[in-house]
Amino acid sequence: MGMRSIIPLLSLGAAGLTGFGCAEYSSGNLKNSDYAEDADTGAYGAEDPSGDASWDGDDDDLGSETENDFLRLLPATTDKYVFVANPTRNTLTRVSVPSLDVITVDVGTNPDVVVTTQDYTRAVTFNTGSDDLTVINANNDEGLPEVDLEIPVLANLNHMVVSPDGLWAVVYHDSDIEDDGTATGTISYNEISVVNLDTGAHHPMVVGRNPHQVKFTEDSSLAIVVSDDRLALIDLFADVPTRSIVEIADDLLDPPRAEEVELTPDGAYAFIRQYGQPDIVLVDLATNEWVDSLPVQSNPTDLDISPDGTLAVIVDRGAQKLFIYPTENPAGSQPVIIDLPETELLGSVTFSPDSEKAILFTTAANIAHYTTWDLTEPDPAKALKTRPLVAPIRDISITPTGNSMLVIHKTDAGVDSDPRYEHKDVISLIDLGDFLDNPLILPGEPTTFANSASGEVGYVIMEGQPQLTVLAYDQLLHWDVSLKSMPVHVGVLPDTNYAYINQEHDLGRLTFFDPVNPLDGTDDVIQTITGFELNSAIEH
Amino acid sequence: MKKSILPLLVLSGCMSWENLPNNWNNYQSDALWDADLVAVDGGVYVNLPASKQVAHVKPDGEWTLVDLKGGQPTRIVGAPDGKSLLVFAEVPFCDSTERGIKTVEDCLEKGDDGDLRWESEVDIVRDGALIGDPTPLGNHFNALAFTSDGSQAVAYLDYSDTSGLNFGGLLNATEVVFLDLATGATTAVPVGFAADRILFDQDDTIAVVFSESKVVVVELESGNYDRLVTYSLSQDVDIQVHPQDAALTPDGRYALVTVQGSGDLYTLDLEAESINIVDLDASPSSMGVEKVSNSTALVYASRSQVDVLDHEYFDVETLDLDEPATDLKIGNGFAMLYNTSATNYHDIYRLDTEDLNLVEYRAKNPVVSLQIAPDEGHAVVVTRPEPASGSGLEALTDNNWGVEILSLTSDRGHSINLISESKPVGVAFSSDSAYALVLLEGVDALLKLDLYAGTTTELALADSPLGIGAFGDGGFYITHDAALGLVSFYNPDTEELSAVGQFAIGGLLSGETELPRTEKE
Repeated sequence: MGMRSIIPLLSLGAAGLTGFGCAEYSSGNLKNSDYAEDADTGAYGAEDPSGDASWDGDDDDLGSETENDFLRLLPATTDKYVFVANPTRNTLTRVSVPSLDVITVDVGTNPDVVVTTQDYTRAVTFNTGSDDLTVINANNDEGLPEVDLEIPVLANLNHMVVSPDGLWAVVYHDSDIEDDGTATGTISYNEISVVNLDTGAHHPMVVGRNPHQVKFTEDSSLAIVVSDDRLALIDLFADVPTRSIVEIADDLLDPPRAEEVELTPDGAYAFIRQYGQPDIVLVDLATNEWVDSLPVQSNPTDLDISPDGTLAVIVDRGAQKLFIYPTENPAGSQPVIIDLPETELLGSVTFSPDSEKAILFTTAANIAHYTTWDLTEPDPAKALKTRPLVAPIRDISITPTGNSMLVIHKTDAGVDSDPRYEHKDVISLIDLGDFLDNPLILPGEPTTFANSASGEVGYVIMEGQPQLTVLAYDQLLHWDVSLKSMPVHVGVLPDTNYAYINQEHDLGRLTFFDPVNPLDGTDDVIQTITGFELNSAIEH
Repeated sequence: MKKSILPLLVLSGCMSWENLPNNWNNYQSDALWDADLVAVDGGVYVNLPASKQVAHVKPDGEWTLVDLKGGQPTRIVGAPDGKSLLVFAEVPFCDSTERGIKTVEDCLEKGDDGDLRWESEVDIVRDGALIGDPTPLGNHFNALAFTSDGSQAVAYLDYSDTSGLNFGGLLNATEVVFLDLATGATTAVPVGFAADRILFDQDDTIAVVFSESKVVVVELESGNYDRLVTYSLSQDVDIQVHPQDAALTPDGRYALVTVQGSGDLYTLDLEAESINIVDLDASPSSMGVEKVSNSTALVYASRSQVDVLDHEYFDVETLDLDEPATDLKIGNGFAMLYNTSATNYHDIYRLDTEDLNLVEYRAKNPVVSLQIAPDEGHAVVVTRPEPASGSGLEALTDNNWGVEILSLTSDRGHSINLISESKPVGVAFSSDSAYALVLLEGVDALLKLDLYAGTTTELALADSPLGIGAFGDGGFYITHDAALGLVSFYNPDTEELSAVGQFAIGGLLSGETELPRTEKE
């Protein structure tokens, strides 16, 4: 699923962790911002300029399976704190939950990315104005955030990711981020900074052209920098990080774009889906070699590793087939091939957390259907079942428990869409047990959603609407909560149902929402803090 | 007492006879005495603007002038200890080297321009006498805020009353002065522009000083008056935040600041040293902190609502009112909301702050003031006339001032409405809250108003009253409209009234103004 925003964030790896820390919940931003919209396959811009994506039964000329990206400069969280960077004042604000105590520390110039480590001990800011990182102890012995290190990095970089163990940061120039034109001096898009966040040691190095993704193995032994024509594998367990290069294209003069890289949970292999290529590149991460090309038929549009780590599933939208490879000893293996319903167009897949169920759908055409795939059913004819929706699909998220699903719809009319929901902002809550659905017409375009790790509640914010819509997944119900100003982002603190909503305000505003008992919409606790940016000007 | 007498023909009491004027005539443009006096345990202090003296007036009929060592009082302020008086005073000095200059008049006549200068000071007075040496103080300071124990004070410029302000030269409006009232030591502390509100925590360990776009916390324990924290209320120098009202929560942890022309309510966490802004629907006209429910009530001149802000989460609970309220008074567990604007609103509300129960009272006429009895069983409201809208009793009510008694134990808005023959000029409560003492303009009587029955009994006064205040242990003083000064002391136990008068002529005929602190030649 590449940079799909709807998968649980823990599996997002490097890029997906930005701004979300290590939150064990799913969320997504549905508006494009600094990042160009990610088009995984098919022809970039092939979609009808008129926006008519109605399906004529042919995969040709269909646009990409679009995957929405995240806003930058999102708050970062630990289990107790929300960290908000203040680029205009060069500070980082820590908000304690639930006390909402606010403490601000100085960081470098223009902190543009803030990340918390998975062990919740650190926050790290990448300060694009001063070309450095600030490493902050999230909570020192006195209960305060404290700057531990300030580490210079290379100039003209624009993004940072942190390894799962919180020891390493990779700072690079992400070619998917629109250039703001502020770069000065001699510019390289291939240079990256690898930084040890414990010691402050800085290891600059060069990777392939136009890096656009960095992934880490779960044990943080390896960082994989994805470029168009090659992977850079950085051994983080070595005394000094060492880099290996693996070419992943035969045609080095016109290499296909590596759109999606998935690592097996044991860190043994990388599966790489490339634009327009009828096979999947398999790289052995132990030997740093391209060991095989796993064939599909025509146009793979999505690649996912099942949550249990056993299967690599490729959706071939052009052939309307699923190709399933084992993740253990995949080199030379034969895929299990499942024919998808001939009457459907399916280009994306997303799994339930237990790996027993998956949802197949397309965002490339306006079709108000989705197909469920029961992985426990050996008979493909019985395993796949197509179900109706009220409108075409823009995005799908399965809750962390796998009991429910959130569908964000397009406003367009489409195949089998319900006229009552056309040209409206609609989401659907779907019970994945009995597939009962509850379509909700929203007052505005949904921009971000977040699900709690418990799977009990989800949250949606909308464009131009000062409200938070709370979703009670078990009951498929919803209620609205008024906000003081327009929301910018919603997230959930790890291991809680506690939502935080970053809102528009000159001096900074965060609202914290605790549904307490999600079965009862009357016991909500809502707290708003406003003006926390003033804290950076408090003098002692 | 702003009225002057022209001419003053009768002289008596403790006047100085050494410098009688020719023909026994003396013309005064300044008021002889100021009826806004200060009551202390043993009597009252009265500022005498014409003679530039302070009189100490006692219930036994005696009065004396306080020796301020030549200081000429401009303002007097009572300290919270109930014993001390602080006097803002000015002292003349002459820088001329000419010989024989002993008075201000000499200095003006013999000296050069600019030789005569006035220095400002604050004097501490107890038992009718100056304590220690006068403390020099910038002449622009005109107000004091005291710690709860009265041991320390902060002098500042009250911008709401700059009449007669004569600061000369350059005015530094960015600092206040802390005074140790035991030693007279002063410490100037920069606190930001236009500081005009100072609050102290319960233990008097810190002072919180509110100024334009800034709040400064000053420690009071070391004697150094160090600034502990400075909070900025704005990030942009082009945007000035003008505090309208300020209060501390009962635990002293949070300072609440409302802002002129904005619905922002700043909550400053004085422990965690952080700022939060609570969104209100408008700039409140009044704010009051209620201890029992640990909440703050806010009312708005332009909105028919009262907001209740809890001090834990700082959530705002809004209750709709039929009419807007501009003022509130806080009791234990309740707030009284009322409107004193120039409009014709009549509603008064009792808000029980714990359960947010709202009880509406309907005054017959628009409200001028509201006072709560000590036992909080009743409130007395003074109302003003309004254009008559009916006939008979209704018209009579509309055309006259009124006094209304509200039962604060009633959940049905019970009240007793009384029509007043003239403007009420003073209301005070007996210590047992059984009755209120009411004074009416031009009526030479003290009215004892039974708060339960609404009936009155009268005690004759020596002259028409101006005001009433508490004095000593359960007693009262009453000021009268008498040019030469007249104060009555009322003992409610014996129902005796004793009047003391003519103290305003004290020092009036003392002739030229001596230079009191010029070294002897």
